[in-house]
Amino acid sequence: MDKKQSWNYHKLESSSSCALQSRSPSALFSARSRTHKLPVRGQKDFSPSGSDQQTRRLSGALEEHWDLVSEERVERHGNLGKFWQTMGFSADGKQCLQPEEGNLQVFHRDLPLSIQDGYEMFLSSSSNLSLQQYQVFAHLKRIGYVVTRFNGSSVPSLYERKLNLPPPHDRGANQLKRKRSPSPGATPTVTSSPRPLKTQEDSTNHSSALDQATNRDPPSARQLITESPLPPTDDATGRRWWGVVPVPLDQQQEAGPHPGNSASPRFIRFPDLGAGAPADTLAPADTLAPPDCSLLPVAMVEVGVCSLSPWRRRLNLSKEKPSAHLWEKDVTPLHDPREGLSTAKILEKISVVKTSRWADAECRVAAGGSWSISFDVHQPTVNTEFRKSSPGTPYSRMCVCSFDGPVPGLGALQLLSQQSGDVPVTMAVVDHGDVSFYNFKHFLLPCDPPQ
Amino acid sequence: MDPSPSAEVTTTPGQHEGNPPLQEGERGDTSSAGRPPPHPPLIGVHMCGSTALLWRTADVRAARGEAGVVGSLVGALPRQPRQNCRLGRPLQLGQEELRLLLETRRAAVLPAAPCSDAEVKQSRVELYEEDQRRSFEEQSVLALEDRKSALLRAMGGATQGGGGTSQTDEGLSGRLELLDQSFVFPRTAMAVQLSTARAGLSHCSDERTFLHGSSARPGPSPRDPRSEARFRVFRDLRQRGYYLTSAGKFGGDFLVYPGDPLRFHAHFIVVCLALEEELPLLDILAVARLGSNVKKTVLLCSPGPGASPVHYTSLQWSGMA
Repeated sequence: MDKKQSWNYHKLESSSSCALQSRSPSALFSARSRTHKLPVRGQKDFSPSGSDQQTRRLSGALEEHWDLVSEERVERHGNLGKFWQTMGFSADGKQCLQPEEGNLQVFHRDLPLSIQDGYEMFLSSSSNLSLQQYQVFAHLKRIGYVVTRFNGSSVPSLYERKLNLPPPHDRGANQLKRKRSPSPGATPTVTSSPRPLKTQEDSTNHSSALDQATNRDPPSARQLITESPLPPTDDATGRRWWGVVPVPLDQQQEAGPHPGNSASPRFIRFPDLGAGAPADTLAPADTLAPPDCSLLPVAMVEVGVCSLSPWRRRLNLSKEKPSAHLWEKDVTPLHDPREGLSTAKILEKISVVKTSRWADAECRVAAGGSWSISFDVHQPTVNTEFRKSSPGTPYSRMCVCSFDGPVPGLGALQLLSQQSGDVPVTMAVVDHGDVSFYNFKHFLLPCDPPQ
Repeated sequence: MDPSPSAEVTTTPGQHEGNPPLQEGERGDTSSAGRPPPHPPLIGVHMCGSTALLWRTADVRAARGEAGVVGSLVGALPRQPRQNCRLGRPLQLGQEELRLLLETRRAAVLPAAPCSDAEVKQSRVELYEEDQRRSFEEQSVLALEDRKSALLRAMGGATQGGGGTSQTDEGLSGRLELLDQSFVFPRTAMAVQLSTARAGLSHCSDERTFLHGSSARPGPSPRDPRSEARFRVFRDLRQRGYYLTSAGKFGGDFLVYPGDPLRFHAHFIVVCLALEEELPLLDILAVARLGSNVKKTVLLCSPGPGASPVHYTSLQWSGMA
């Protein structure tokens, strides 16, 4: 050690002794009733003018600032360690904490650890938690979120999601909900569906498992789930689908109005006269039964049978031109008008570039870099309902990154969203201890005929 | 601000010379070797991974007051831990802030405490336990006094109302005696300190032994041109008396304040560029537009070759339609 080094050593020794920041018992005792108010920051000035007033204000603000910064944590001994409701886990019969969790006095070999010791021991390169991850965790915890580590295996696989399988941990609870939801067609498919694919999907060969999943799942089952299922026609439960169910014309006429049944709601059904067959194939004498008298204004007692032919004549007045020759050669029109599709369907049919969501499995982009989800975040409002044994669906999942690092590519976003399932992934970007949160969202351009 | 697309790039190298330099900004930029005592104490920097942290109030204060290094507080504030508006120690230093402090010999990186392999001296544990016992006893006494004075206040109010007789005095002393005998200060009510910085009787004693050499200096040893440019711009602006913080949220490298950020608004958003670096026009327009939206001037900063000065350029909407 040369002279300069020893000088430095000496300087630091003296500064360390004067910076000893532990408090006397009386100071600790009085700290129990100290203020919890933060100093109010006044309006800032534009630029230094050198005036006395400005200097005074600056030194005042700085004094307040240093008072605030120098304060130490003082807790009642009995208040420490009250965190097991949302934090910690048990392993081997012992209660354990993740390194980021804990407002507590940690003892290491019978001596208390300082916060600094904690940082250096738990956030070092050897632990699996980085300082940036901790900063995101702490930021969220401070404002009340329940933050737990992300566990990829708790997220249902794409296949399970497609079949609407309940997640493994609360399958029992979901079963109840399922009974209430009107999907009688889907239920048997779900319960009888094979589940060996789950283990396959957990393997690293992600794409092949996915392909198998999409190939194997029967098209009928998929339809039942994606489209809104038809309600039962024979209404055993006593529920009716008034106004929603398109009852065929003939049935409607058969059923007619229910004059005696005053308990059930009554609707005047407007028959779809254009449905079914073109006008000329129908019998001209087709008529519509008179509506229920009780639904009509008092004055209109006699309505009588309604002839359909005047209306029918107004439909499809233009004759379809014979265009069969257009389909005779190799090149044919994209659309046959006789198919009778909606505008949206036609647009979809003739579109050259199909809309795709980057989150869909069909559009795969190679992911570069190492992106991973760090935390599950549950909202503070549901904090009271949070149970560690069944945490429920997180509000969001956090992927921690930095302004210094790269921006996630489309492939990385896709990978993350697939890992996350239905829960949105938020990018928590750390910039010198300051955390900002961003979401990448699929944006569907608005289209005139609704999809 | 004229949104005219015809923009004009003006180079203003001497733009900031008119601004008042700050009080203590330049002191440490001369060599510290020949300075007479008293020296300011060195600032102790602790590394957490690749991040530099200051743990002691004295260090945080010295960095801001003497060196004008603001850093950012990243810990929970003891006074009000459940918010993110005002944070507490530790103070995180940016790469440039750390390098400036080290190069001006105001700070030194301290080695991590040898927590894992240190054999704990039994005397230390005993000392700590003794300290806790003493603290508990003293706090018990204080709590008892507290209770007594509260009783006196309550009884005093009563006697004033009732006229004050010897009977109430007797009653008071009896109650005080009773309190003396029956008062129990529960262990759970004891106030304990959770130290922020490592100090005193904690497990890892901090002797602040360190090697003040380039070997202890963190950061990429062959520095990449980008961080080199950032550092030179940072140092130049700091020498001119400005305070700097990071400007990630504003799409730049640094926010530049004319005085302490506690009392002044930032004037500039700094974007650091190598002198020959090409920048797409769209990027320049985007950052300039952002700057005018937040009422700040965007500075494109490029350090010249060698020791030549830093060039500052700002984009101004020309006002011609």
